[in-house]
Amino acid sequence: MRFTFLFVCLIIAVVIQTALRAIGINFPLLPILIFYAAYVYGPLFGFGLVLPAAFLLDFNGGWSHPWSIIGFLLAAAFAIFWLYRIESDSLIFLAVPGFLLPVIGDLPQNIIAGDFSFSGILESCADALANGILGAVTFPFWIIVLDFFSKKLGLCTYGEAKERVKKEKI
Amino acid sequence: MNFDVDNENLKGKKIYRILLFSFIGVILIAAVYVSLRRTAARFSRDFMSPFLRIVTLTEDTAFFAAQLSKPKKQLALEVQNLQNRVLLLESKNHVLKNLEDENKVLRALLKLPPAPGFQPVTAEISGRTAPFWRERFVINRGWSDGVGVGNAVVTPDQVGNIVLVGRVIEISAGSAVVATVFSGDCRVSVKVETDSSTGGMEVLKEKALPVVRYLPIGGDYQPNTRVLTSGIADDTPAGIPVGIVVSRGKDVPPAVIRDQLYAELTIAPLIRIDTVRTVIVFTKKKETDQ
Repeated sequence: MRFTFLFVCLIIAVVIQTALRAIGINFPLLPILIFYAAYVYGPLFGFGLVLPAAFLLDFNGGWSHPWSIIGFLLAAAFAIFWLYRIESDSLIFLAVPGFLLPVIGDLPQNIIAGDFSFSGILESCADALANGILGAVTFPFWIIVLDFFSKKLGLCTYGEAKERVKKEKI
Repeated sequence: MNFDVDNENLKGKKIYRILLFSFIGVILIAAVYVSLRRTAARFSRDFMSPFLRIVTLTEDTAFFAAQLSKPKKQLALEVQNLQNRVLLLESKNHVLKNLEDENKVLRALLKLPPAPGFQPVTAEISGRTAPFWRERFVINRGWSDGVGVGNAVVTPDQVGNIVLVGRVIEISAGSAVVATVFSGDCRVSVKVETDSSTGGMEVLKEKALPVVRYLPIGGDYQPNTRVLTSGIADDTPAGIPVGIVVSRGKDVPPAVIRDQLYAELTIAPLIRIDTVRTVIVFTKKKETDQ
């Protein structure tokens, strides 16, 4: 069920992100989904989602190489770090990964795709900053939406993931 | 002592083996990636194309819904205008068809090979990203619609005349990647309108204007002269406007002579690439269509 749920979410996220990119809006939804998958369902699901997500997104955007793998791997690794190292359940604290995810999950590939040119780096950084702020505001909303469907399907939710880790530690 | 030497030898062999296996591993991964990249790209685009068409369908539905909110009188007037335009285009098409037939007869009489025919296919941009906004995009038509690698892609400019956007560089069943005239991947044979000198258009440096190289030195090159496709390549129709010659300054000829061998012109493409949404692909007509 987790696999099917993530597969459907992946398709929806790729469609939305590709459609938004085609009209000039670059909001990285896929790093958020990868973060969620790695955080809630475990590293296998998070890292397993990296390759298909990068391939589907980059090749449908006209890129020659799936550079997004780098950013998505960082997003999955960040989820594991956040799950095992950070001790807070506050909803407001979610603004931190919300800000960082669009930056680490989207900036590296944009810099590489822009051939490391000064203007490319500048544009990518400005883009990442704007997306980071937007991400900080909307991240709790994405978590609530994904949790809503997870709960409906009887799957593990974002809050339960932390409890699971605490039990593992005990 | 002997035991230490043997131990060091073993360690050296182990490191050597690890290095060898890592090297082979890297080569294998690179080889697998190189051979599978195109297949993976094709599969990714074909897999997503039905889902991405939903976006186009939604846009169309929204557009139709917006049309329905207009008053009936206005809609009737628009239909009338469109019918008139269709009539005009039909009559122009009829004249052109006669000319085409005449051209075929004349070519046959002169024993010349038949001119290549082209079939226009409309397409919409389905994928585009900020780092390559001006250089490349994905369209929702592929080889199942007759599109092929090298096909010329055009779009109307602000006044409705078609101008060259670029060429198809990668293809799958339901989509194709287009490299625009601003991309280093788009090379087109072009001619200068005033004296029909032919050269090759390419982008030498990314984010820079394209240049036309290998033009004859003695040609008449003036600023703001139009540059058109030459039609030498059989997958590009002749006479499509590409750009205009850029001036290098007052009293300075626009052409730069390279190595005393050929002239080089910088051109400003006519396409307003930032706002393009719909394009037309000139696919090659099959023998049965002609």
